[in-house]
Amino acid sequence: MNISLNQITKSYDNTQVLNNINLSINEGEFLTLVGPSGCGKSTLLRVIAGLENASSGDVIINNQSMNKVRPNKRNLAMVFQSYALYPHLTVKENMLTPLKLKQLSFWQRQPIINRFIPGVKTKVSNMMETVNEVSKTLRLEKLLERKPGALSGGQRQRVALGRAMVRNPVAFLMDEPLSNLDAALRVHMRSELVELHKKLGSTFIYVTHDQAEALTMSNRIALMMDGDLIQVGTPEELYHNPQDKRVAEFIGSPKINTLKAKVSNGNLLVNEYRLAKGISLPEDSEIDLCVRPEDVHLTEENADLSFKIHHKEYLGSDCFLHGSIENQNQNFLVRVKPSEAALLTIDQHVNIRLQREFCFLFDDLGRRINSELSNV
Amino acid sequence: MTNKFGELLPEFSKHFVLILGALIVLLPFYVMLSYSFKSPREIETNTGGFFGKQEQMVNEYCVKLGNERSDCMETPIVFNYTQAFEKAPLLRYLLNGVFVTVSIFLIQILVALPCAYALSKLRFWGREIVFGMVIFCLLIPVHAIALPIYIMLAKVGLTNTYSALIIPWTISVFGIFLMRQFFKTVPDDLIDAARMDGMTELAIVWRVMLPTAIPALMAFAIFSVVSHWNDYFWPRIAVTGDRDLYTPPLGLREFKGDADGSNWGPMMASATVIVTPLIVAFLLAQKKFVEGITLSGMK
Repeated sequence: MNISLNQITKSYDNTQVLNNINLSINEGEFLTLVGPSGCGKSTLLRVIAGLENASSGDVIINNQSMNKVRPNKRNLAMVFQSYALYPHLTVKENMLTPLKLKQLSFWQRQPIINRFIPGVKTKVSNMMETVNEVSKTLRLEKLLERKPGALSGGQRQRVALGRAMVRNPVAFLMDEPLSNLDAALRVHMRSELVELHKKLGSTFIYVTHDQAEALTMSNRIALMMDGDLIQVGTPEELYHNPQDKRVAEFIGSPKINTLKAKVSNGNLLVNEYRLAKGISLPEDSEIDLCVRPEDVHLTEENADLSFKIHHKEYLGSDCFLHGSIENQNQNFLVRVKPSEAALLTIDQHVNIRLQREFCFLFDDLGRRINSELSNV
Repeated sequence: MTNKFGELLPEFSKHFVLILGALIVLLPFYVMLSYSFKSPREIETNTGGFFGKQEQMVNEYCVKLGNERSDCMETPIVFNYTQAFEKAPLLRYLLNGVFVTVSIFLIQILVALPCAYALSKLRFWGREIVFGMVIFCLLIPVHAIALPIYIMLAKVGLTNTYSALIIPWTISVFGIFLMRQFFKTVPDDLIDAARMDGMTELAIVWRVMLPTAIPALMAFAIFSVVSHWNDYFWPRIAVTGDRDLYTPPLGLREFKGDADGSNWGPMMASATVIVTPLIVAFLLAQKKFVEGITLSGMK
């Protein structure tokens, strides 16, 4: 039951929202679509769900094209950011609705008439069993008779999950389901969702703009920008081996450091300082060198650059030094241990060394240059 | 001291204006109620205060039928209200009114809700033009199109039927407009969730949009029911002669300008009877308004 997307494009009027998206989602996988707002990730999810039609391309579920199939026949379940519970129905009725629509015919659903149709009662009691089972999993038993208006955000979230789960779908589609929760609950629900994924073993396609959610929850991440799918890979791959400058900048918090560098005689120069040699790039090409704050170290000897501390950000386990490097217009961050930071003062100049194997080079179009940096 | 007075002055003036407005609105009701209690003599001479003296009076109509004057003595309040129900079949008129207004309202909902849903939530070519036409129709005064509608109904042979009273009002552009504005506030996610659950578009209208729109529907119900219950203009045109089809406002005419002069007492008594259901309905609906269905579950 794998889902694959073939050359999906989508445009409204003249704006291209999705450009030629190819993606294959494995069975039982937790795949996260991540990107800044407006990158098309929600649209892609809606295309998979069938709520939007792609301008061209195919959505294939279980080797069958779904382009002409109505949303409810695709056997997918969706959890919305706003939960989208029926406000006039109780929790129980909310969870029963998709089952009734799926298993009962039009006449069997009509309030008074259905009493005279044989078989409805057993079907409904089977459905109730499903609902009870799911509500036990989600700890909703005590809330079944309440209406959504009388629930807290986290409870509504669980009801929305429950409404999706009762259908036993091929895949769960989740559109930023945690973004309406407060910070503590969000972290808690992350682990609950991961647990649920393990327990159910179904495919989860999860949309978020929060890179932390993507890193912590997913088996694989698909990163989107401006309607393009830029990189697909495990969280480790995206973090340690970004193929595009935008990926390097989007994944990881705080943001990765960027230094302007130049190539001269096969040497990589930052501020005229020779950082590496044996670079096989055209002379005088401008490159961006990106390095994460944890891959920069304070050092006494073999220093690469001098760093001026502007302020210290204390986080308990770590401390981030915010500062600048001469002739570089971007802010620069260094992660140090709090004990090290205690010895430093504001406006002090310290020497730093970049860990060569974790320096990423990008060309002027933001593409990764695969070039091993060797020490000087 | 002056400070306190300075603070209270705006409050006083606000309330003064509000009380003045309330008096202007309530005064006709006061007169109506008062006249419905009084004898004709008290009405003509403007005596007797609010309730009248309730002295025994002679029922002239009863005397005309050949009874003894002493047998025809009644208190004015009883006389007025019995006359209201006896001289004209007021009960029949009230039932006509209920039937016509309820039918109009139900059919209006049947038309307006799907229209409003389409205009607010579905994307189709020409939607804005259609909505523009709805707005335009809001500007057309009823009286301008009354004659063409009458002629059309006459050609189909529908004058002097309930249909003539109901059909012209079944499409309420105001209702479409009002419901469309309300539906705009319903989150799209809710509709998408219903689609994922397998509801058809019409099922979404009746099973998702309708229950969430109860407060807006109540507001519309008040507009619709009040205006058609009180309508005198259209029934006067569409019903010519057949008294069985009279709506309550037409019933009031029965007491006016006969050879023996207007019967103000019974007339005001029937007017009181006619407005009472409206006022009761208003009070009930007001409570429902406040309770309303809270939409907090959707956000």
